[in-house]
Amino acid sequence: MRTRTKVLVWFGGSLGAASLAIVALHLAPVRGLLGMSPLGRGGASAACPFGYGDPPAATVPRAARAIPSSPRPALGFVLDGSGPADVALWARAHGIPCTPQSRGSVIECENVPARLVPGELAATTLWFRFSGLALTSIQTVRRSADAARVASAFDASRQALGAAIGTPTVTGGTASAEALSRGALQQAVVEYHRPGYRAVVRATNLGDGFVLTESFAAI
Amino acid sequence: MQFSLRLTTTFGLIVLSGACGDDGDSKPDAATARGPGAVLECQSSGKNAFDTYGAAAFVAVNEEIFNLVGAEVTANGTTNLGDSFTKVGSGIPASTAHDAATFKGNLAAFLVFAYGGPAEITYTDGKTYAGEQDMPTAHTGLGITGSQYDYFIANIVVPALINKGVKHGAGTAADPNDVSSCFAPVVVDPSFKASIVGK
Repeated sequence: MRTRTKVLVWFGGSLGAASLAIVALHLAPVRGLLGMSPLGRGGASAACPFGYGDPPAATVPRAARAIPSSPRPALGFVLDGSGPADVALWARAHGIPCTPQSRGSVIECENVPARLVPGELAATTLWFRFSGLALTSIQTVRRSADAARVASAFDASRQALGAAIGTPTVTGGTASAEALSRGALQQAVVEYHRPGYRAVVRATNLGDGFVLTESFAAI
Repeated sequence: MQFSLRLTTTFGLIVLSGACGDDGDSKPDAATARGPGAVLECQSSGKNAFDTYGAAAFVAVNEEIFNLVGAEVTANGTTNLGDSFTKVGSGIPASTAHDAATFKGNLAAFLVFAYGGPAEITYTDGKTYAGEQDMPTAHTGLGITGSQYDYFIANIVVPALINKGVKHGAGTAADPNDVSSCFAPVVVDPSFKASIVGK
């Protein structure tokens, strides 16, 4: 009888301790330490193995579609290939502050150094969007008070795209410092439309400064 | 066309009511209030944007803004634009309580008023909307960032104006630029941006 009671106490205690441990493992701070968060050490691959973590909004798989073999430039990342863990490693390697948003389907990074993007203009904000664990698009916002710097970064981005995938599909405006400085909302744009891919680069005079926005998207 | 006719009627009524006498209150009422763009002259016409392009163009630009937002959200999600459009109708935060149709009518009324049109319009849905709007209240709780605002102006507002025929030439008499002369000053005004960002 005494042995049976000991076994029951031991079993109940173990069960309770295990339950507490499981609950604790799903608390955000602990998950961050263990890497269940998309920005944790293990990236998304370290998610709760039983599927009870916060499912990113985009865990619903994308509709099956062919991934084109032609190049789809995206600042060195691979559309439909890179995952949140890759972005986390990149951010950590370069000391870039990034935060997951929209339940993990987006990672927002700020103050991305100029050396990591075309042209000598740092990115104020950079958004990575995922469907499931696959990168589907990157958008950048790069700001400067100097029209020449934005014009130069526009050219660098255009040249990088042109070298990879050829001539743009759409062009508009003039991306020189002089043209952008003519007035507020003056804008130059290049768009590249390819099978499964679209890139859009805009240089815009926003009155209180100049901004370069870029979008590299799998479509 | 329906919008144009209704707007003309509404505008006529406003003018008439404004002519019926001053009640002594110095505060401008809806009939006399003018938006900040009322005094801006388009390079192509010497008149303000509403008088230059008319109601139909403002409807077209407003619709194009929503078309471009829809395309942007489909392609790139919501984070780069902020929650103004994606939380419409949810009521959380309170500034998103209006449904999509009301939101669209409100934006149209704001644009018309801001650029020199009447303070009140009847939109294509047959409902009447007021153009004078409290921007800080309308954006409270959305937490729109400076980058989101910049992205929205560059990728939604400017393309909407250009796509719908607002002149955007070299800025010469022969090739005028109305985007810069009579549309831009309102949206790049630091106080206007401050009324939206960070609320």
